[in-house]
This record gives sequence, C-alpha cells and structure tokens, in this order.
Amino acid sequence: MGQITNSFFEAFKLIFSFDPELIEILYLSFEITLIAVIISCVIGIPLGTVLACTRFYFRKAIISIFFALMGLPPVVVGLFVYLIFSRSGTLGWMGLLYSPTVMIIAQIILITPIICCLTFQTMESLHLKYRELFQSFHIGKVKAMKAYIIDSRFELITVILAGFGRSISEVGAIIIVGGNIDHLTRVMTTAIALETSKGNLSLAMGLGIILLLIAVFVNVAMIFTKNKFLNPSNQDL
Amino acid sequence: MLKIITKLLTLIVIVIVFSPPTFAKSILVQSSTSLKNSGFYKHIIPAIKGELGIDLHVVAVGTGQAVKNALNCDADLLITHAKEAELGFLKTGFGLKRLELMYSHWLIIGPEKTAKSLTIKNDISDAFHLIFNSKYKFVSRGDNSGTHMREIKLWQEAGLNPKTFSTNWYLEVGSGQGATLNSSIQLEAFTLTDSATWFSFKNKGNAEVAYKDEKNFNIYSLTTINSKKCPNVKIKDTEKVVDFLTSIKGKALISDFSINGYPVFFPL
Amino acid sequence: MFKKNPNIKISNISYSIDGKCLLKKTSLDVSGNGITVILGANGAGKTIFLKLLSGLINPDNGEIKTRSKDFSFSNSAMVFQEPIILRRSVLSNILFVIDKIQSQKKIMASELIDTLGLSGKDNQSAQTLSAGEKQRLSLARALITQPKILLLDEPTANIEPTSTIYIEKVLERKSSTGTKIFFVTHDINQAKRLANDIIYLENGKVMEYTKSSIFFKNPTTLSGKKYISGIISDVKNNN
Repeated sequence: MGQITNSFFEAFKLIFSFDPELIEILYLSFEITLIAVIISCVIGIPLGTVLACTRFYFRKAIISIFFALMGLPPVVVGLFVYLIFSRSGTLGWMGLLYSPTVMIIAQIILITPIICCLTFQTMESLHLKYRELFQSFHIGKVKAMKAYIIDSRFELITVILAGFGRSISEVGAIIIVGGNIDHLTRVMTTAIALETSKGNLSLAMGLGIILLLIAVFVNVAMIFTKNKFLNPSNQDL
Repeated sequence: MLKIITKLLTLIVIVIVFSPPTFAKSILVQSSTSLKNSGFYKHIIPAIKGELGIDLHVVAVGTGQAVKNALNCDADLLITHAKEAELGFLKTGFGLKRLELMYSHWLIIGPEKTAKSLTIKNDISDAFHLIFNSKYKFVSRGDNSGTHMREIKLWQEAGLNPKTFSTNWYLEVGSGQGATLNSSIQLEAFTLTDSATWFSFKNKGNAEVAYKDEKNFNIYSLTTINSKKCPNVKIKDTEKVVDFLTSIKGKALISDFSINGYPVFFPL
Repeated sequence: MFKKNPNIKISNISYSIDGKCLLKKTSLDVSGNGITVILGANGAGKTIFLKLLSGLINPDNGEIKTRSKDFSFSNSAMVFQEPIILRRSVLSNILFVIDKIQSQKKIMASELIDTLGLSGKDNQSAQTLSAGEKQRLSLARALITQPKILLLDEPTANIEPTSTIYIEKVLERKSSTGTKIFFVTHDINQAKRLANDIIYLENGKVMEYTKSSIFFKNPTTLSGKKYISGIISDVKNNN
C-alpha cells in the first residue's frame, strides 16, 4: 500500500514541477495518438460505412476478417511492422524504423479495425432504418454514406474515443518498432515500462496515474461536448 | 465550419508525418539494457553531443537481439558485453572492428538471509556450485542477453546443468534485466546481474549482493558495422564517436559516471 | 384544365419471398388520375402492392407500365407509415432529397413548410417534432421532388387529427392538380373521404377494383362485402 501512496506523491511532484522530460513525453504521446486516431478514422469510418451499407461479393468475408483483426495481439503487429521497416526488410529503404512515424503506422494497423468494426455496427442499425427511404428517393451511394456519417456523429464520438483509449494505452507494438529511444520515441507507456524495469515502481506508477488522468479528462471532455449538443428532447436512438 | 476543421487537421497531419524525424546528426546504437537502465547513456550522450554534435539514438534490447538487429543492418554501432557473440558477429562479415571499451563487475544478488553463504566463496564457480547443491532458487534471464550468455557460460565452466531443474529451483523468465530483478527479489531467488544495473536499481527489497566477481570482469565492447554489407551505415559519424569514447576525454567521461557516488564503469 | 394522365398498366405481376406467395398473379388497368385507396385486412398484401408500384421491390414476373415517359413511377415519391427523419433541421430534411439545391427549390421548400403547417420551424431540429409533424415533414419531403405519382403507406395511422387534416387537404389539392395518388389505409372513413377508386386485396389477391362510391355501397365480391360489414358492425358495436 505504501508504494501506491508514494506513486500519488510522485505523480503530483511530476505534474507540479512541470518536468521538461515529462512534458516532452506527454507531447509525443499525444502527437502519435492524435495522428494515428485521425488517420484510422479517415480509413475506418468510411470503410465501416461502406461495409454496412453496400452489398458486394466478398462482403461477409471482409467483415469477419476485420472483426478478427480487432483482436490482433499488439506485440505481433509490432514484430510484423518491425520486420517490414527493418533495413533488411521490404520498406527498409525508407529509413523509418525507430521513428515516431513507424510508431504511428503500427498504431494505425491496430486501431483501424476497431474504428471500422464499431462504425460498422453503428451504421448497420442506421442502414436498417434509412435504407428504404434512401432507395425510394434514389439517393446516390456517396450522398447516402455522407448522410449516415453525419447522422451518427454522436455515436461516432464514442467510436473515436474507443480508438483514442486503445491508442494512448498501446505499448507492445510501439516499444518494438520505436525502440523507446530517449527524446525521440519514448512515450508515456514505454516510459512506464522503462521505469518499471529500472525498479522505479513509484515513478512508473506516478506516470501511470498521470496517463490515467489524461485519458479520463479526454473522455469526459468528449462526452460533455456530445451531451451539450444532445438536448434531452433530442434523444433519438 | 466542418470543412475548415477537416482541412486544418489534414494539414497538421501531413506536416507532422512528413517532417524528418530529426535534423541533428545521429547514429543508431544497439545496446545491452544495463547501460541504458543505469543511466550511463544519459551521462555520455550530452557530452558527445556537445563535443561532436552527434546524437546517439540508443535502442536497448539485450546483446542477442542487438546483434540480430545489426545483422539486419538496423544499427550503426553495437555496444554490448558478450565476447563470443561479438566475435561471432565479426565472423559473419557484418562486423568491422571490435574495441573493448570498459568493464564493470558481475554480481550474484540474492535474499539477505542466504546471501552471506555465497560471499565467503573464493570463486564464482564455487558460488554456483553452492546454489546448485543447495537447490537455492535461481532466476535466469533466459533471453539471450549478454548477462544470460555469461550465466550460461558460468554454469558450463562449473560443469553443472541447471536446466534439468527448470521450473523447480531454476526459473527462466525470458525477461529484460529490470523485470528479472523484480521477479528474483519477489521470489527471494538468486540471479546474475551487473554492478551498474544493480546499483541503479530502485526496488531492491531485501536483496543484496551475495557475490562480486573480482576475477573475471564484465567487459563492454564497441563493434562497428561493415558498410559493404550495410550500405546505410553512417561510418564517418560512428567512427568519430568510437574515436571519442576510446580517447582520453572519453575515458575520463566514463570514469566520471557514478551511481550514488560510486564509479561503476572502468575504462580499458 | 390540365392534360389527363394515361392509365397505369399492371401486367401479370406476382411476388413471393422464400416460397411464400405474397401477391398472386395480377393484371390491372388503373386510372392515372385521382386518388386510389388500397384496402384490405392485415397481411392482405397492401404494402407489398404499394412497394411494387413504387419500384422499391421488383415483381417476380410481369411489369408495371405507363404509356408516357413523363408520367411514370420513376417520377414518384413515397411516404412511409413510420416517418423516417434524418438528424438535422426541418428544412435540411426536405432539401436532402434534392440533387442540386437551387434557390428555386429553397423557395419551394419554404412554401411546403408553410402549406403543411410547419411555419417557423425551418431551422428547428426535426427530431423535436411530434409524430404528426414528422409525418407532415415526410409529405413535404415527398412533394419537393414534384412527383407525378405519390404513394402513401398508412401515413396517418399513428398521428393526431390536426396533422391528418393537413395531410388530407394537401393530398386532395395535389390530386385535383394532376398528381396520381396511391394511398393505403385501414381507416374506412378516411377512404370514403379521399378515394376516387378502391383496390381491395385479400390474401395477396386483388379482389376488386372499382369506383369508391360503388365499393362502399355494394361491393361485388363476398370478401369485399365481409370487409365492409366487418368494419361497419364494429362501428355499430362501439356506439
């Protein structure tokens, strides 16, 4: 119990000292997470919508594959990306190994299936509701998809939050492809891993508490925004 | 409104994704974990940056993996502490030059109640015999790191095969140095480690140094990469770093490094 | 006066799902003018028939044709029993079904909003409307496409009298200016109010197609007679 109390002290010490290293690590964590989530949404949301709203030959197979990909072990993804971007790998010539860029790529591989599948589920129920309407008015596919996305904007906030949560807590893949290099590829989670391996458990836990606070803050902020635009009388499911 | 936000976000993403990772000069170092965990790199990197204008990007993965990474050309320099592995690497033709840089000490750490019984031994081999015969719990790195290779060698030299007692009293955790120490201490077991790692470790619990090997030292070497095998290697910058570390200034820098006031690395 | 619309030729259409026949082979020559009300008990096939007409589903056999390109089901619009409304403003809902939104259409949309008694609610979130208002919105949305044929599936089934009146008035006006209207309902009185002719279905078969006045006075088939008397006797019992 003593160590956990110490952790809170460590957390406060770090926060109020505005430790430059902490700020650097936090900034990088956010940069990587934000970019990875944005790109994953750009790919995943339209993809999930298309899968829900159109019918084509391999549709069911592709849906099953994406749902399976949600359970990709991060360490496996890390290894896979590492092998591709290693100097001796297919894309080694890009020299992206051990950089924030390759960490973002690994994150995108992990998060896109989640965003895609959660979007798919949201859109499926919307599609059931709107299909006949759109069909009877001959609404074009692209216009229909835009409408689905706009109309489910509040549910999509939750989807994006799920992606964000997954991304900010990721460590397995990014520690392999990033190398946890000081001042370059060290983020909150990999820093926690490092401090743990140095036996600095209180500090590690302190960092963990800060990470937790940030994740909670982001979630609360997003949900608050969502509810602000959803008047009680507006609640439509 | 939405369109403006989308365009702005896209711009930010493009700028960040395509900006080069770093503008300063740097070399990629594959290293053993003991040097990173002890804070050694935090000590020497600023000095090297100041002196040469070159940054060190250190990936600390353990000797075995460091060598493998170098074989994939994912390194400019190896800083490791397993002679056989390093010589083997040179033999593959991927390694160019090996220079012994500095040494620290091998330590066996263990629970305070039984640690003393090892201290009186003359030789580390005797210490291993004692552990083997008393069936004291022993945690092995099991991860092909420099420490792990040393541990295997010590068992071999003592003529003992602890693997037959695997999961009995000989536990192979397959983890890095820190995790191994955390596990050993919790399990009240013995384990092999190096002085830099141990003295900088903050979670010692009731474990202490049971045996310090004063006869055979833990030698760290620099191994450069052959650019004929790996054309991407930054030879010039790596050579500058190697020359610096082996120079008088470099040796002073190494000796300067201390943990809790005690020096742990001794330049060769 | 306006030019009268040609007849709608329904030739040998039938429809089944999973082997179950929901509409038996039907051929009909339906008037292209006025309001045709489709009646029948639950499960008689009224909605299927309406959807076949609108083109929402395709018949297994046969075809539905009109003799003119201008007056055809490709220029039709539908109002469903449950109002399906998008999560946006009233005006935006109406304009959603238009491809190119020009100022002319915007004016038309405003007019429709007024006509259907939704004045002042242009920018209000459509989700906040009552059921009746939502259905009025559905009708406005259908009308902005200026359809030659309007199909409605029990549009006033679950809404209050005010909205029902709005809708019926608009339908009557549209019918009198040349729009063909197909209307499914369970409400006999409503059918009596609005219908020019009746299509009566039972068990997936078109039993009767007659003028409204004839059907309600003296239906040709036994089933038709039963249907009317069933309803009428219900009304008597309630009194």
